[in-house]
Amino acid sequence: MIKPKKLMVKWELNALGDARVEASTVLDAAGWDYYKKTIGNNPDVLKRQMERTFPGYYLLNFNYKDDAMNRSWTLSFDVLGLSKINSKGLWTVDLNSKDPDVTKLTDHNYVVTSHFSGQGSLLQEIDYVNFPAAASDIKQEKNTFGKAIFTYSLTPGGGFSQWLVFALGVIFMIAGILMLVLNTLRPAQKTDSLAH
Amino acid sequence: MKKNLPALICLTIGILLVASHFLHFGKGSLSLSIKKADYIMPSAYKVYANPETLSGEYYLFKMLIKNDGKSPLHDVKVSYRIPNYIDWIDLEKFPKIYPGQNVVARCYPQFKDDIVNKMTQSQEKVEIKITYNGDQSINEEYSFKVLGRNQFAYTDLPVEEIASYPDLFRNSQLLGCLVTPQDPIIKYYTQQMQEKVMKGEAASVSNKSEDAVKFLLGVYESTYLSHMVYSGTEGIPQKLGDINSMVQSIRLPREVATGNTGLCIELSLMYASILKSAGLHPVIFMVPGHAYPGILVNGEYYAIEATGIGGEGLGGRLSPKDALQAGMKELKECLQNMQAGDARYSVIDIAELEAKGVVPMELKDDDFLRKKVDEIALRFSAGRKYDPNQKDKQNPKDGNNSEDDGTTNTYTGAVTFNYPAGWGRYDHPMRQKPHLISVIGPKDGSIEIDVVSITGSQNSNQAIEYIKQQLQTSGMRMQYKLVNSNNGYDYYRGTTTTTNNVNFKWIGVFRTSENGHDGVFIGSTRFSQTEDLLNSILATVR
Repeated sequence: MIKPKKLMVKWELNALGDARVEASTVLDAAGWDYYKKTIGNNPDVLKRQMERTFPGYYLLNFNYKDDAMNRSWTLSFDVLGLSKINSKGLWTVDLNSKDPDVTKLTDHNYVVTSHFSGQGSLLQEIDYVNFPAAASDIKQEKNTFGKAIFTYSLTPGGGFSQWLVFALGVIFMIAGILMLVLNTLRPAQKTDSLAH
Repeated sequence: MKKNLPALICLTIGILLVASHFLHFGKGSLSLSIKKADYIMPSAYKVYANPETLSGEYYLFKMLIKNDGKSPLHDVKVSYRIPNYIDWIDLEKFPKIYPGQNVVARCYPQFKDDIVNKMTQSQEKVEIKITYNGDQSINEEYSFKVLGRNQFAYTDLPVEEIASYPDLFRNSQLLGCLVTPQDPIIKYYTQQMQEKVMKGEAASVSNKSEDAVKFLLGVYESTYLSHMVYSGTEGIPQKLGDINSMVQSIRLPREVATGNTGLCIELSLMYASILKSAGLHPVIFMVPGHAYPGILVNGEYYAIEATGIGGEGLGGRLSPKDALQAGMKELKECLQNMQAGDARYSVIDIAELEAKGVVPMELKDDDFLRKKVDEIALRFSAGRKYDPNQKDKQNPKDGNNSEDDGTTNTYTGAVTFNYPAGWGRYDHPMRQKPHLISVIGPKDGSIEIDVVSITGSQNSNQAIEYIKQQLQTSGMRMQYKLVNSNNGYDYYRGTTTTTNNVNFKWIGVFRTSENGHDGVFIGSTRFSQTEDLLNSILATVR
């Protein structure tokens, strides 16, 4: 049985649609040897490969490390504009994966597994997608090209402090209205005449 | 009023706090960043138009839009145009962009099919317009190159980014755009080849490897018979230089087929087009400085050295069998190197690329090119058949090149043609027949080539009538008919009966000269046994 090469990718989405991505893999001895010959001493080539894999996005802030003892490398980077708002007001994330296996871990964490062949090898990509805490109604759908996409609702800036300000505002308004009403209902007090 | 003041203050504060949640005070503002392609290759215009092809890596530009302001931007619309090519078109709409949010707009331009008629490079402009919040807009523009149809850039990386050999050929996956099986001219060429060389065999009828290999050999044999010329020793650029050095002018398969000449990569693309047109699975093997075609059938690769057809001054030609042997030897080496991880050796799988969306350009039918195919197809049936008993050329790459093999001589005069060495040549053999310039033939007289020059004829019919009259004065009879006219040549077939009632069947050709018409007539008393040889001589008339 042919064992596919595995690529693990973690996607940490923020409330504004950008993501921090961490891609890593463990290679066998022959694979590590080939990797060191072709890319290992030139990790900027890996950066270029990632840019080619995600042509639709802007990639920034690359960070690379490898572990020769365990024959692994990790590349992390920011992806700008990964998620965007569609015409229905929902955020949409397209991971460029057709007919993957999607597993829900929690309300905000999903695993997407896909297989493809390239350069004569079978590859398995496992994507861990973590949605921001403020996201709600997270759903997996398909776009017009049959690719798996996620949609969710989120209003950026709707954090606790914002809601606190809103709540305080409501409290102040209610207090102000109550005070006006009480002032209106209270009869006017007569002052004692100095002539008494 | 005084007693209500605290209440009013509370209410005001409350309204302001609630309003700040819904209203965003402050302006929204955009910042832009554009990544752009420096050039577009017209041959790959369908790839540029499709965001799904090769994961969308071939865009015209992508633009990062960031809301740097303090309030959301509404109804952000990105439009673009390319003057003379694409009119204003909406690229993407973003209903809302929150403060601090980034969005990316990508452009995959839909050029019209007629871009493939562009033969030269030009500098063009992209104009981009971003409108938002109803009435605000930003305009941007930049320049880029549109290459000529035949220009192929093997890499889009600038020199300082090239780290390895594969970087030099990053765009070789786009060579699939130059494989044109649906081109009406290629289809016609394939049909002619199947009829005249393969005698109607269709390799796609069965899945047998031997049939596929037979077809591959048939393509080579067709190029061999038509005297197609391998036009250079350097087919694939190797040098690392500025990006321009990796731009090569590549003839389209139809241009190779009708021009009867090609570089190794051009021959490979033509083979791939014909093989695909016939229903086979073509591949192109890329090795350092060279390319050659092959097929994948029943899980196995087969390859042929297409440049074995050689050319004038290139040391001769390989027989089809030897070209296949050379190709299989190179294939073994290529596969071994690929398995060893040598990135300089690779296989371009046309079907695999097609599945990823790399599709060729649309090409229209062309009467002139069809006629060129007809001319070449004449050589398929007129050309000398490969004779396995004839001494073959050495493989030019072995370095044991022989000189002219001594099997042919060249007649140069009113017309030029080749004929077998060892035949006698007699110039102006009959004073009473000044139109007969030369007679050539073997000693046994079974075959005769007459070179004639008729002065004062208005057309070839008058010229041949003159010859007929001349023969009649000697007691001979001639019958003839015009069989074909192509590109200034008129082809005839006929029979001349001598005074001894010996029938001399012949084939001939006339062309217009300065003063009349020059022609070559080749005939034999054993026409049916020697027809192939006679046709092969006639095919060399130029």
